[in-house]
Amino acid sequence: MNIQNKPKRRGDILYELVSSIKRIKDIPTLPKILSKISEEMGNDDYSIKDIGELMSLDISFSSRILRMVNSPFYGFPQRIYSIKHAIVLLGANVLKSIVISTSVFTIMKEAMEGLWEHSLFCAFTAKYIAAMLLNGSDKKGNKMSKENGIADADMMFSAGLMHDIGKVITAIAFRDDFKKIMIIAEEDKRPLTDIEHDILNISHDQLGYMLAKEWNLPSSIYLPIKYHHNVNLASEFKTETAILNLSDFLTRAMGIGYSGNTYIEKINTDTVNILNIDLNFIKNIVEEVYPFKNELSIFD
Amino acid sequence: MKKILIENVKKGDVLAKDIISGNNLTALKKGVTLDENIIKRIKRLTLINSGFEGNYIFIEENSAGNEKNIEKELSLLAKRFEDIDGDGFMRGIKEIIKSAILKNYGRN
Repeated sequence: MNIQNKPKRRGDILYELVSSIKRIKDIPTLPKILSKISEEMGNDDYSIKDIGELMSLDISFSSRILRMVNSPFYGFPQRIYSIKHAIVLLGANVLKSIVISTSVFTIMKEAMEGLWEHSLFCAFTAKYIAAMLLNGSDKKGNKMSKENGIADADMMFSAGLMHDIGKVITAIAFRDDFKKIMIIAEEDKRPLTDIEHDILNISHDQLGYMLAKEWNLPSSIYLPIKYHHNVNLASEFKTETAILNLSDFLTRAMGIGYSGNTYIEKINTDTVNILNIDLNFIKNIVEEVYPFKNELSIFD
Repeated sequence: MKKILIENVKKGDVLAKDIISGNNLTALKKGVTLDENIIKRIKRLTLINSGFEGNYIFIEENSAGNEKNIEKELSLLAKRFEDIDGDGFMRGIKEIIKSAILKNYGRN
């Protein structure tokens, strides 16, 4: 479906886009069980026991979660054998995003070769950066803490996993336009979001935001997704947005997976300023995370 | 020769010791360059011998296959950074990644 050149107002186009996305059968819908869990979590008095029991009902669902949380990318020192244990350690929102991402794993692999690897590595890097900022200090030696706005490492993993989910939507709903966008991005060396706007009037960051919101993920996940290419526009969760932007940039700079651009742009100066980082900080991150690229094959 | 985790073997690595299967037959000979199928095979087999200790195998350092892979990875790195090579900060990031790539192949 091509919505290019239709003389409609932006609001109409967005409405049409969202409606058409909802009509497409292949679009990743939340597993029914996850809707039940979301409902359950909406109650103020929800219990981990009840959510754990709901999650354990679906074996493939449980095994997907356990495979991810026991992977080197999550890095728990001990093996996690039960969903209940995973919920206690990770929190239900983080588990939810892991379930969503692993549910769209196959679609992601088919939609764009390398996107899954890019997303997983971005998630891993984001988690690592958040933990590094929380446990260590910035380049000026200022101690960072949750109180002065540093991100939750597990939540950052979720945002990283989901940040390009909008590309999956474009690849499925607008297959021809998606191919065209990829070709132009490669030939013109222009940012993907600019070309997406030219052709679709919307970009993957906005689509991903809409989807994450629709799936009732928290704002600490959907807002960084919305602004991960426009860090300067984020008025809330600035640190989280900057971490996501840096993780995305570094994953592409390291050449891990593929997200639609062979060429990288200059590092975002807003990100550098918000996180107060320098080359030494980047060196520490790259040295720690890069060797894990050898582990990506465990999800093949 | 270096000992690496089976999970970490890569296409182009060259076996530095024979791998003998559980029934004492040579499964893979020293000198074999690993490709995707061989790597899958190694991961599938449960093997015991001098070339296989627990979850580790022995591969040659600086093998010809590795040389090619290193060359390819460095050329892709140069391509990714070709438009922003004039920027000092970006050149610094490129050098950091180059070191990580080389270190991943056992070079320092």
